Amino acid sequence: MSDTAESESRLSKSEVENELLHMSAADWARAQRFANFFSRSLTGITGDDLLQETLTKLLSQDRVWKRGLKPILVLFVAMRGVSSNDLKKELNGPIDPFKAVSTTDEEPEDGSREHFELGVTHDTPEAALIKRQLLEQIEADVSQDEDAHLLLLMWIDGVRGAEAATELGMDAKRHDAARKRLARRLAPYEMARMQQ
Amino acid sequence: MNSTKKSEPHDLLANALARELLEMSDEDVLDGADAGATKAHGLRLLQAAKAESGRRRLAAARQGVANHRSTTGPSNAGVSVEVAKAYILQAMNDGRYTLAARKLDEMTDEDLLGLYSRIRRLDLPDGSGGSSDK
Repeated sequence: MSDTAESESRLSKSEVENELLHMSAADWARAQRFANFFSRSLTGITGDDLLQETLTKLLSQDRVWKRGLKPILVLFVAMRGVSSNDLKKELNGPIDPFKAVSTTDEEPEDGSREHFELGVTHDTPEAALIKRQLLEQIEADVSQDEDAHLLLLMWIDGVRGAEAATELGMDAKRHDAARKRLARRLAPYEMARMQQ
Repeated sequence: MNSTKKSEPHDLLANALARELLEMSDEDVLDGADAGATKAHGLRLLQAAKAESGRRRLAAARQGVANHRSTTGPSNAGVSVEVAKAYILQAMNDGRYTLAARKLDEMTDEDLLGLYSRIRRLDLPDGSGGSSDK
Protein backbone atom coordinates (compact mmCIF):
# COMPACT_ATOMS: atom_id res chain seq x y z
CA MET A 1 0.00 0.00 0.00
CA SER A 2 1.39 3.46 -0.83
CA ASP A 3 2.04 5.95 1.97
CA THR A 4 -0.86 8.10 0.78
CA ALA A 5 -3.31 5.20 0.60
CA GLU A 6 -2.19 4.01 4.02
CA SER A 7 -2.58 7.44 5.62
CA GLU A 8 -6.04 7.75 4.06
CA SER A 9 -7.10 4.36 5.45
CA ARG A 10 -6.27 5.33 9.03
CA LEU A 11 -7.80 8.05 11.15
CA SER A 12 -5.81 11.17 11.92
CA LYS A 13 -5.19 12.20 15.54
CA SER A 14 -8.07 14.71 15.49
CA GLU A 15 -10.40 12.14 13.91
CA VAL A 16 -9.48 9.62 16.61
CA GLU A 17 -10.25 12.18 19.30
CA ASN A 18 -13.52 13.11 17.64
CA GLU A 19 -14.68 9.47 17.46
CA LEU A 20 -13.88 8.99 21.16
CA LEU A 21 -15.57 12.23 22.18
CA HIS A 22 -18.80 10.98 20.62
CA MET A 23 -18.73 7.51 22.15
CA SER A 24 -21.87 6.69 24.13
CA ALA A 25 -21.98 6.22 27.91
CA ALA A 26 -22.76 2.51 27.43
CA ASP A 27 -19.73 2.06 25.17
CA TRP A 28 -17.55 3.77 27.77
CA ALA A 29 -18.93 1.24 30.27
CA ARG A 30 -18.18 -1.62 27.84
CA ALA A 31 -14.63 -0.33 27.38
CA GLN A 32 -14.15 0.01 31.12
CA ARG A 33 -15.46 -3.45 31.86
CA PHE A 34 -13.23 -5.01 29.22
CA ALA A 35 -10.27 -3.07 30.63
CA ASN A 36 -11.10 -4.35 34.10
CA PHE A 37 -11.03 -7.90 32.78
CA PHE A 38 -7.62 -7.54 31.12
CA SER A 39 -6.08 -5.62 34.01
CA ARG A 40 -6.58 -8.70 36.21
CA SER A 41 -3.55 -10.31 34.57
CA LEU A 42 -1.38 -7.23 35.21
CA THR A 43 0.22 -6.43 38.55
CA GLY A 44 -0.50 -2.96 39.91
CA ILE A 45 -2.43 -1.85 36.83
CA THR A 46 -6.08 -0.93 37.11
CA GLY A 47 -8.67 -1.03 34.35
CA ASP A 48 -8.51 2.76 34.21
CA ASP A 49 -4.71 2.60 33.74
CA LEU A 50 -5.08 0.16 30.88
CA LEU A 51 -7.88 2.12 29.21
CA GLN A 52 -5.98 5.41 29.50
CA GLU A 53 -2.78 3.86 28.11
CA THR A 54 -4.77 2.46 25.19
CA LEU A 55 -6.35 5.87 24.53
CA THR A 56 -2.88 7.45 24.67
CA LYS A 57 -1.52 5.00 22.11
CA LEU A 58 -4.48 5.58 19.79
CA LEU A 59 -4.17 9.37 20.08
CA SER A 60 -0.40 9.15 19.52
CA GLN A 61 -1.12 6.88 16.54
CA ASP A 62 1.22 4.25 17.97
CA ARG A 63 -1.80 2.04 17.38
CA VAL A 64 -3.57 2.19 14.06
CA TRP A 65 -7.26 3.09 13.89
CA LYS A 66 -8.50 1.89 10.53
CA ARG A 67 -11.17 4.06 8.98
CA GLY A 68 -14.75 2.74 9.20
CA LEU A 69 -14.44 0.72 12.41
CA LYS A 70 -16.68 1.26 15.41
CA PRO A 71 -14.82 2.95 18.29
CA ILE A 72 -15.73 0.24 20.81
CA LEU A 73 -14.32 -2.48 18.53
CA VAL A 74 -11.11 -0.53 18.03
CA LEU A 75 -10.80 -0.07 21.79
CA PHE A 76 -11.37 -3.76 22.49
CA VAL A 77 -8.71 -4.87 20.02
CA ALA A 78 -6.21 -2.18 21.04
CA MET A 79 -6.71 -2.87 24.76
CA ARG A 80 -6.00 -6.52 24.22
CA GLY A 81 -2.77 -5.69 22.41
CA VAL A 82 -1.68 -3.16 25.03
CA SER A 83 -2.41 -5.55 27.89
CA SER A 84 -0.47 -8.30 26.13
CA ASN A 85 2.51 -5.98 25.62
CA ASP A 86 2.27 -4.76 29.22
CA LEU A 87 2.32 -8.34 30.45
CA LYS A 88 5.44 -9.04 28.39
CA LYS A 89 7.08 -5.87 29.72
CA GLU A 90 6.20 -6.89 33.25
CA LEU A 91 7.88 -10.23 32.72
CA ASN A 92 10.92 -8.72 31.00
CA GLY A 93 11.51 -5.95 33.55
CA PRO A 94 11.40 -2.17 33.10
CA ILE A 95 11.97 -0.66 29.67
CA ASP A 96 12.08 2.82 28.21
CA PRO A 97 8.49 4.08 28.49
CA PHE A 98 8.88 6.12 25.29
CA LYS A 99 10.03 3.23 23.18
CA ALA A 100 7.46 2.12 20.60
CA VAL A 101 6.73 -1.45 21.64
CA SER A 102 4.13 -2.00 18.97
CA THR A 103 3.12 0.08 16.00
CA THR A 104 0.52 -2.18 14.54
CA ASP A 105 -2.85 -3.42 15.54
CA GLU A 106 -4.81 -6.59 15.04
CA GLU A 107 -7.85 -5.08 13.44
CA PRO A 108 -9.69 -6.72 10.58
CA GLU A 109 -8.54 -5.68 7.14
CA ASP A 110 -11.90 -5.38 5.43
CA GLY A 111 -12.88 -2.11 7.08
CA SER A 112 -16.35 -3.38 7.95
CA ARG A 113 -17.91 -1.71 10.97
CA GLU A 114 -19.60 -4.95 11.94
CA HIS A 115 -16.92 -7.55 11.34
CA PHE A 116 -14.92 -8.19 14.49
CA GLU A 117 -12.33 -10.76 15.43
CA LEU A 118 -10.13 -10.33 18.46
CA GLY A 119 -7.68 -12.92 17.24
CA VAL A 120 -5.16 -14.54 19.52
CA THR A 121 -2.17 -13.20 21.37
CA HIS A 122 1.39 -14.50 21.16
CA ASP A 123 2.23 -15.46 24.70
CA THR A 124 5.54 -16.42 26.16
CA PRO A 125 5.41 -19.53 28.39
CA GLU A 126 5.52 -17.23 31.45
CA ALA A 127 2.59 -15.14 30.20
CA ALA A 128 0.64 -18.29 29.36
CA LEU A 129 1.25 -19.54 32.90
CA ILE A 130 -0.03 -16.29 34.42
CA LYS A 131 -3.17 -16.54 32.28
CA ARG A 132 -3.72 -20.16 33.29
CA GLN A 133 -3.41 -19.19 36.96
CA LEU A 134 -5.83 -16.34 36.39
CA LEU A 135 -8.35 -18.73 34.83
CA GLU A 136 -8.05 -21.03 37.83
CA GLN A 137 -8.69 -18.07 40.12
CA ILE A 138 -11.72 -16.99 38.07
CA GLU A 139 -13.07 -20.52 38.14
CA ALA A 140 -12.69 -20.63 41.92
CA ASP A 141 -14.45 -17.24 42.16
CA VAL A 142 -17.55 -18.40 40.30
CA SER A 143 -17.63 -21.97 41.54
CA GLN A 144 -20.41 -21.16 44.03
CA ASP A 145 -22.71 -20.02 41.21
CA GLU A 146 -23.50 -23.20 39.32
CA ASP A 147 -25.06 -21.65 36.21
CA ALA A 148 -22.37 -18.99 35.89
CA HIS A 149 -19.68 -21.63 36.41
CA LEU A 150 -21.10 -23.87 33.69
CA LEU A 151 -21.35 -20.92 31.35
CA LEU A 152 -17.75 -19.95 32.11
CA LEU A 153 -16.63 -23.43 31.10
CA MET A 154 -18.57 -23.07 27.84
CA TRP A 155 -17.00 -19.69 27.10
CA ILE A 156 -13.52 -21.06 27.78
CA ASP A 157 -14.36 -23.79 25.31
CA GLY A 158 -15.30 -21.19 22.69
CA VAL A 159 -19.06 -21.73 22.90
CA ARG A 160 -21.36 -18.86 23.83
CA GLY A 161 -24.75 -17.28 23.21
CA ALA A 162 -27.75 -19.40 22.26
CA GLU A 163 -25.51 -22.33 21.43
CA ALA A 164 -24.18 -22.39 25.00
CA ALA A 165 -27.71 -22.08 26.41
CA THR A 166 -28.85 -25.04 24.31
CA GLU A 167 -25.91 -27.19 25.31
CA LEU A 168 -26.51 -26.39 28.98
CA GLY A 169 -30.28 -26.89 28.68
CA MET A 170 -30.99 -23.34 29.93
CA ASP A 171 -33.98 -21.32 28.79
CA ALA A 172 -33.34 -17.78 27.53
CA LYS A 173 -34.21 -16.10 30.82
CA ARG A 174 -31.98 -18.34 32.93
CA HIS A 175 -29.14 -18.03 30.43
CA ASP A 176 -29.47 -14.24 30.33
CA ALA A 177 -29.33 -14.01 34.12
CA ALA A 178 -26.31 -16.32 34.28
CA ARG A 179 -24.36 -14.42 31.62
CA LYS A 180 -24.99 -11.12 33.38
CA ARG A 181 -23.71 -12.53 36.66
CA LEU A 182 -20.69 -14.05 34.92
CA ALA A 183 -19.87 -10.84 33.04
CA ARG A 184 -20.18 -8.92 36.31
CA ARG A 185 -17.64 -11.22 37.96
CA LEU A 186 -15.25 -11.28 35.01
CA ALA A 187 -15.44 -7.59 34.21
CA PRO A 188 -16.84 -5.76 37.22
CA TYR A 189 -18.15 -2.28 36.90
CA GLU A 190 -16.81 -0.12 39.67
CA MET A 191 -20.03 1.30 41.01
CA ALA A 192 -18.53 2.82 44.14
CA ARG A 193 -16.17 5.06 42.19
CA MET A 194 -18.80 6.03 39.64
CA GLN A 195 -21.10 7.25 42.38
CA GLN A 196 -18.50 9.59 43.87
CA MET B 1 -1.69 -15.30 10.04
CA ASN B 2 -2.57 -17.17 13.21
CA SER B 3 -5.09 -19.49 11.64
CA THR B 4 -3.13 -22.60 12.47
CA LYS B 5 -2.57 -21.65 16.09
CA LYS B 6 -5.07 -23.01 18.55
CA SER B 7 -6.63 -20.29 20.67
CA GLU B 8 -5.73 -20.41 24.34
CA PRO B 9 -8.56 -20.65 26.90
CA HIS B 10 -7.90 -17.10 28.09
CA ASP B 11 -8.16 -15.82 24.50
CA LEU B 12 -11.42 -17.69 24.02
CA LEU B 13 -12.79 -16.30 27.26
CA ALA B 14 -11.78 -12.77 26.23
CA ASN B 15 -13.48 -13.26 22.86
CA ALA B 16 -16.66 -14.53 24.51
CA LEU B 17 -16.71 -11.68 27.03
CA ALA B 18 -16.16 -9.08 24.29
CA ARG B 19 -19.04 -10.44 22.26
CA GLU B 20 -21.31 -10.66 25.28
CA LEU B 21 -20.56 -7.05 26.21
CA LEU B 22 -21.26 -5.97 22.63
CA GLU B 23 -24.55 -7.83 22.55
CA MET B 24 -25.74 -6.70 25.98
CA SER B 25 -28.27 -3.88 26.07
CA ASP B 26 -26.96 -0.49 27.14
CA GLU B 27 -28.97 -0.79 30.33
CA ASP B 28 -27.44 -4.16 31.21
CA VAL B 29 -23.91 -3.07 30.46
CA LEU B 30 -24.28 0.04 32.61
CA ASP B 31 -25.47 -2.26 35.41
CA GLY B 32 -27.19 0.49 37.36
CA ALA B 33 -24.45 3.10 36.96
CA ASP B 34 -25.36 6.66 36.04
CA ALA B 35 -24.88 7.16 32.28
CA GLY B 36 -23.76 10.78 32.64
CA ALA B 37 -21.17 9.94 35.29
CA THR B 38 -19.95 7.00 33.20
CA LYS B 39 -19.40 9.14 30.13
CA ALA B 40 -17.83 11.93 32.18
CA HIS B 41 -15.37 9.43 33.64
CA GLY B 42 -14.48 8.15 30.17
CA LEU B 43 -13.92 11.69 28.93
CA ARG B 44 -11.66 12.40 31.90
CA LEU B 45 -9.53 9.39 30.90
CA LEU B 46 -9.53 10.69 27.32
CA GLN B 47 -8.37 14.12 28.51
CA ALA B 48 -5.59 12.56 30.58
CA ALA B 49 -4.58 10.40 27.59
CA LYS B 50 -4.45 13.49 25.38
CA ALA B 51 -2.14 15.24 27.85
CA GLU B 52 0.09 12.15 28.11
CA SER B 53 0.20 11.81 24.33
CA GLY B 54 1.38 15.45 24.12
CA ARG B 55 4.06 14.83 26.75
CA ARG B 56 5.34 11.80 24.86
CA ARG B 57 5.38 13.71 21.57
CA LEU B 58 7.39 16.49 23.19
CA ALA B 59 9.84 14.00 24.70
CA ALA B 60 10.21 12.28 21.32
CA ALA B 61 10.79 15.63 19.58
CA ARG B 62 13.45 16.59 22.14
CA GLN B 63 15.11 13.22 21.70
CA GLY B 64 15.02 13.71 17.93
CA VAL B 65 16.73 17.10 18.21
CA ALA B 66 19.36 15.65 20.55
CA ASN B 67 19.99 12.78 18.12
CA HIS B 68 20.24 15.22 15.21
CA ARG B 69 22.75 17.36 17.10
CA SER B 70 24.87 14.35 17.93
CA THR B 71 25.11 13.38 14.24
CA THR B 72 25.51 16.80 12.64
CA GLY B 73 28.63 17.94 14.46
CA PRO B 74 29.21 21.34 16.02
CA SER B 75 26.39 23.83 16.29
CA ASN B 76 26.47 27.57 15.79
CA ALA B 77 25.52 28.20 19.39
CA GLY B 78 27.52 31.09 20.78
CA VAL B 79 29.27 31.89 17.48
CA SER B 80 29.02 35.54 16.44
CA VAL B 81 28.54 36.62 12.84
CA GLU B 82 32.01 38.23 12.94
CA VAL B 83 33.68 35.02 14.09
CA ALA B 84 31.79 33.03 11.44
CA LYS B 85 32.78 35.53 8.73
CA ALA B 86 36.43 35.42 9.82
CA TYR B 87 36.41 31.62 9.76
CA ILE B 88 34.92 31.56 6.26
CA LEU B 89 37.46 34.13 5.01
CA GLN B 90 40.29 32.03 6.44
CA ALA B 91 38.94 28.95 4.68
CA MET B 92 38.75 30.92 1.42
CA ASN B 93 42.28 32.32 1.87
CA ASP B 94 43.92 28.93 2.30
CA GLY B 95 42.39 27.82 -0.97
CA ARG B 96 40.16 25.07 0.39
CA TYR B 97 36.97 26.78 -0.70
CA THR B 98 36.04 29.28 -3.36
CA LEU B 99 33.63 32.11 -2.75
CA ALA B 100 33.67 35.66 -4.05
CA ALA B 101 34.42 38.13 -1.24
CA ARG B 102 31.70 40.34 -2.63
CA LYS B 103 29.17 37.56 -2.22
CA LEU B 104 30.17 37.09 1.41
CA ASP B 105 29.32 40.73 2.09
CA GLU B 106 25.92 40.29 0.50
CA MET B 107 24.96 37.31 2.63
CA THR B 108 22.50 37.61 5.49
CA ASP B 109 23.66 36.78 9.01
CA GLU B 110 21.60 33.61 8.89
CA ASP B 111 23.18 32.48 5.61
CA LEU B 112 26.63 33.30 6.95
CA LEU B 113 26.09 31.18 10.05
CA GLY B 114 24.70 28.39 7.87
CA LEU B 115 27.75 28.47 5.62
CA TYR B 116 30.02 28.56 8.68
CA SER B 117 28.23 25.48 10.02
CA ARG B 118 28.65 23.61 6.72
CA ILE B 119 32.35 24.43 6.42
CA ARG B 120 32.91 23.43 10.05
CA ARG B 121 31.30 20.05 9.32
CA LEU B 122 33.52 19.60 6.23
CA ASP B 123 36.53 20.47 8.38
CA LEU B 124 35.81 17.76 10.92
CA PRO B 125 38.60 15.15 10.98
CA ASP B 126 36.23 12.35 10.02
CA GLY B 127 34.56 14.49 7.38
CA SER B 128 31.17 13.75 8.83
CA GLY B 129 28.42 15.36 6.87
CA GLY B 130 30.82 16.57 4.20
CA SER B 131 29.66 14.59 1.20
CA SER B 132 25.98 15.07 1.88
CA ASP B 133 26.29 18.78 2.46
CA LYS B 134 24.38 20.94 0.04
